[in-house]
Parts: sequence; structure tokens; C-alpha cells
Amino acid sequence: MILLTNIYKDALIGAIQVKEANLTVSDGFKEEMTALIDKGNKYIVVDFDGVIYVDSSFLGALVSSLKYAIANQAEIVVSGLNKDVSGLFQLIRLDKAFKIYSSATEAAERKS
Amino acid sequence: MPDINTKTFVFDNHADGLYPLVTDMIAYIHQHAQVSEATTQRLKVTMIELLTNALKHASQSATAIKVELTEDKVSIQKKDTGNGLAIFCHQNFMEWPLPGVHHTGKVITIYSNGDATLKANLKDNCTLQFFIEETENTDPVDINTLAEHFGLMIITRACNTFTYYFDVDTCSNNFIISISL
Repeated sequence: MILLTNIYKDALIGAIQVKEANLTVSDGFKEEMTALIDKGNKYIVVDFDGVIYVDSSFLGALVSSLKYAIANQAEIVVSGLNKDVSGLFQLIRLDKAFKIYSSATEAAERKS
Repeated sequence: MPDINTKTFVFDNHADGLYPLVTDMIAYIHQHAQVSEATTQRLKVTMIELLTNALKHASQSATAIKVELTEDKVSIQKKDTGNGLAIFCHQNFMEWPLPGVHHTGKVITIYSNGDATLKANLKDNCTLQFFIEETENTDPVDINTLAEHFGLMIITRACNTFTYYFDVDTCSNNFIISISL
């Protein structure tokens, strides 16, 4: 299991349970995200708190999940990015595709 | 004669060894040069993606990573004998060295991602240099135009130069990046 999930207010928070979000877990992450969307969750916070780095495979899985979410009228936001991960999102402009929050609870409370 | 520090690291092509190796390479660079936090971030993402590329495509048990520092830049060279860089011409997969002779100056498209396109300038039938062509900047971004593979684009954005070279003598793939200090 890559994500530990819990409901907070109207959001589902999926906390990433691995420190290295890389190609060894990207397929599993994508499958878990697809299942969460299929269950009808409409606002999913992917919490990166504790993740030390993210590679391109994991980012690909995240973008794929976002496309699937949008096709199902759902939203994915991210939280808890460390400096390196935050810099990576900016580098390839994923900060334009995802709303980014400092913490999962802040992300959940900002649900529009 | 300016100082040049060089060290070759060996990646065992196991994911567990990826981040410890990145940490070792960053520590080596910091031993020999003053590097800003922003440059360190660029170095890290470049190393992570070069090693991830090795995990995906290198067929042998180990990959050599050569780190070279001069007064004003860091160069990193990844060398392996796995699958060559996949490029396509009119949807045909191209083998290295590229066939024919009239390659110099030709620009090929690798893939598009949102408002940017990753392209490469062919230097000859064994060498290309990546660059990014920005297209119309849309805000918010059209999610459906985002690619789901980012590795080469991350490296191209993070470094100053990014070159692929196929060595015909050793049949090896060489990814060479440089980042200014």
C-alpha cells in the first residue's frame, strides 16, 4: 500500500507512505489513485509529507491520475512538498497543473 | 592550468541504491566547490533522472557515472551499454548510429508537454543536444496536453547543456550534462 487514506471534512487525504516516490511504486500509486476515484471521491489530497524525492515515473503517474480525476469530475491537489520536490514541480511547471498546499489539513480546509 | 576534480561512481542499477548514490555525488561536489542551494537542487534532480534512466533502460548490472568539476561548472556523464536513446523519424524507430550522413543541424521533436516541446539538435549521426522550445503559455494549463513521461525534459530544464552521444567503438550510450556553478 502506497497511500494511507483518511477522511478529513469533505476531503480524502492520501498520505504517501514511502520516502522515495520513484518508479518502484509509481504503478501501485496509480492503481490506488484510480481505485479512490472509482469509489467516488471528488477531492483527493495527495500528501507528500515525509517524501524525500520524487522521480519522473511517479510524476507521470500523478499526472495520469489527474487526467483520470478530471474525466470523472474529481480534483487532485498536493501538499507537504519539501524544497526539492517543490522545486521540481516548478521546474517542469506542474505547479500550474496542481494546487499546492503546505499541509494536508490546509488543503482539505481550502476545498472550494 | 585550472583545477579539475574527477571521480567515477558506480550505480548498481538497483532502486535502493539510487538516493544514497545521489547523496554521495552531491557530497563529493560540495567537497570541491561552493554550490548554491538552487544549483544543488538542479544537480539532485539531474542525477535522480539520469539514474532513473539507467534503471529503466540499462541492461547490464552496473552503470558508470563520471562527475567532473572545473572552476565554473559540473559535468556528469552517464555511460551504459543498454538500449539506445529511442528517437523516431516519421514514426520510424531509429537505430544508433543514425543512418545516412546529412544530419548536422537537423532538429527533431522528442515529445511535447503542455506549453513546451522537447527537441534535439543533431550534431552528427552519433550525437544530439536537447533543448526546449516554449510554445504558447496557457494559464491554467490544459491538463490533457501534459505528457506522462518527464525524465528527459526534467534534465534538459535543470542543466545548461544536455547531450546524448552514441559511442560506436564501445556501443555505449553516453548522456553528458553540464551545470554552471
